[in-house]
Amino acid sequence: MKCFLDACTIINLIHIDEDEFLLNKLENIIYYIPEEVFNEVKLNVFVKIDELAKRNEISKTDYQDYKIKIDSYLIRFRQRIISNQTIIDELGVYYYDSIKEIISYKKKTNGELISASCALFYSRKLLSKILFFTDDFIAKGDFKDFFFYQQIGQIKDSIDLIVLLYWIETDEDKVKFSDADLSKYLKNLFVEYFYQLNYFKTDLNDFLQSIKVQSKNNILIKTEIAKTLRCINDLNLDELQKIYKKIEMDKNYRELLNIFKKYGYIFTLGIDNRKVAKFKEYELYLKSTGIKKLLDLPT
Amino acid sequence: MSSFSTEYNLENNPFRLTPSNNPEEIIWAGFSDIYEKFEIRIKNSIRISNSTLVLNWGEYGSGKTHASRFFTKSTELERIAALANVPTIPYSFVMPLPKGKDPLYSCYISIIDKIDIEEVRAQIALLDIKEDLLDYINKISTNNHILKVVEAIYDNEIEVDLIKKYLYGNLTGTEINKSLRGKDILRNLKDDNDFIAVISLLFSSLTFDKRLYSCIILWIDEFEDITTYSNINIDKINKFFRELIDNVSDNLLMFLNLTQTALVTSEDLGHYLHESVKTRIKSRIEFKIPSRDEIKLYLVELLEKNRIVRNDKGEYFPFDVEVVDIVIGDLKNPSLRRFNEALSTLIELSQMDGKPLINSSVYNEYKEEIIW
Repeated sequence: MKCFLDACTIINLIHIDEDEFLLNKLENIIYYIPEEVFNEVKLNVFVKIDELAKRNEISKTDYQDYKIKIDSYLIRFRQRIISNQTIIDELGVYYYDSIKEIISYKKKTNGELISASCALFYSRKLLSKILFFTDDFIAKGDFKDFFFYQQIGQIKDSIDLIVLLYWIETDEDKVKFSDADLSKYLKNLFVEYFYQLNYFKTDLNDFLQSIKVQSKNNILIKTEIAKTLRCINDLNLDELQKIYKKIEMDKNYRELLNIFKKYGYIFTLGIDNRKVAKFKEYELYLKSTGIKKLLDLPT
Repeated sequence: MSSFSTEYNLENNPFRLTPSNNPEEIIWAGFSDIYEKFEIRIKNSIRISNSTLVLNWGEYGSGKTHASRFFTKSTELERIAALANVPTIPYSFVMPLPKGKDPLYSCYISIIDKIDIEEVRAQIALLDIKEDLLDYINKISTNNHILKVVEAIYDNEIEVDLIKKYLYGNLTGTEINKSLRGKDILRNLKDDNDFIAVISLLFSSLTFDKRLYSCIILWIDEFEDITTYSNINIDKINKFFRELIDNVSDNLLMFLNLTQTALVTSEDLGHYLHESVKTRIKSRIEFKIPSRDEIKLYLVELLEKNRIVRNDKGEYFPFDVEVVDIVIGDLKNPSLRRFNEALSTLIELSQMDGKPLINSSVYNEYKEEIIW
């Protein structure tokens, strides 16, 4: 199984993993991390614990322990890096630009683009399908057609990764990936995706309470806050995005926009009711049918 | 310049987007069936010695948080206690489900935050029940350290600031040695078992024989946020509930407010509440999406309770009755909150533009801001 891991997937894995369990299971697949993706991980992996520390939700010792954990994971991931130089040597300095042209990619070169470009190359070089794991659903939209038409492989998310790690273990694995582990890590991932929504709601409610002056502008702001709270409750990402676009363009909503930006990951990660539905579907499927490992197959 | 009072004969905009923080502003309008359910439930807990867990569930914006603010107003609790013919009122705690890393500790801190130790001590002195109270907690406590801690809460010789600091865990070992050693308190409270034990004994003592307070009302709002708890924290919060109900077997009324969201329905609750807690849910109060008639009755009563002088311009004034029907129709089965949002925007825009009456043409002017 040959895979590329995106920055958000790696960061989610680091956060939800316990005692290097998933990290060790990753050894059962061949995975690659382009250097740029690794840099993105380094840049963003501490954001969560920094935020928890700012809210006084973790002690100093816990914070230090987390840092040590993250650093040790980064050391392991470093071993899977594909350096920029490797790509330049094989494909020249203009490779990414040429891929951008092929797929009409308007954003600047980033981890996802590099992963998709490398995936194309590796699929040809290794004559194999490539799985690209990303939790960035906007990226998924950007590259879906490319992966499909070029027959590179599939774009999957962290839910799929955990299920893959569950069934791909071999007899040599000393520590088995049990059904209970699978439920646990899917739950951990679920919490990882959604826990910040509570803070988003709290910040919005605090802001709402603080608006005292009666003015037309404030009425409009209160309306947008009310809409936003409703969308969070319903996990209606499409509507949330519409609100985001609207307030981005209007100076009057600056304070509200700042709150949105703080929780911006919600939009890129596609945290919405379709994602919830996916978790629930897996939960039901695991209960009714279960994912079969080699040992489970009837003889 | 027009204002709500001169133009509309209203104290202010009666449509709140979130419940007020000022208890005086929290009123009940319409929905008499739900009102009665709460009244009966609280009356029973005031009168009878048992412990109950009640689940309040419903859609977003259906009034659960509002109920938690209203039914813990001291004036309302006094009224219900009088109905129950019991001279003492409940002691109520309202808190959202903690969102941080350690929910049990956060619950503990929230409760300690809300205890008015001075007030409690004053009540004890007034009723002259200190001796009996101390006898009672001596009888029921099985942990000497916790016993001494709770005794200290009631002990007039110990300054309120000092005991609060101790309860918050802000006293050093040396300070404890210096000021509390004489009272047999030799160490800090250190783990979840200590925190639960203190709260349990505190609750039991506050309601002993219903002579100080008739019962404890613990109201946990936003319970749906439990979906974002790790498994460890789900266990912790369940332990907290279970031990509270077990150890405070008399006189505890717990309400859990649960909003149906994309992440959780009341059926999903089974995942988050352990069997031992689930079986203790004695009843469920459902906050349904209101019918058209229920909304209109609510509106009439709400406006009436906000009037400054007697109103003779029609019970819906400043709205005309047609526009009320039109708005409800356009909102398509609104929750109470959605209805409040719409009318709040409508009345504020109308008032700012000096409209003397809010009819359908006024509504059409602002419709875009209101219907979304």
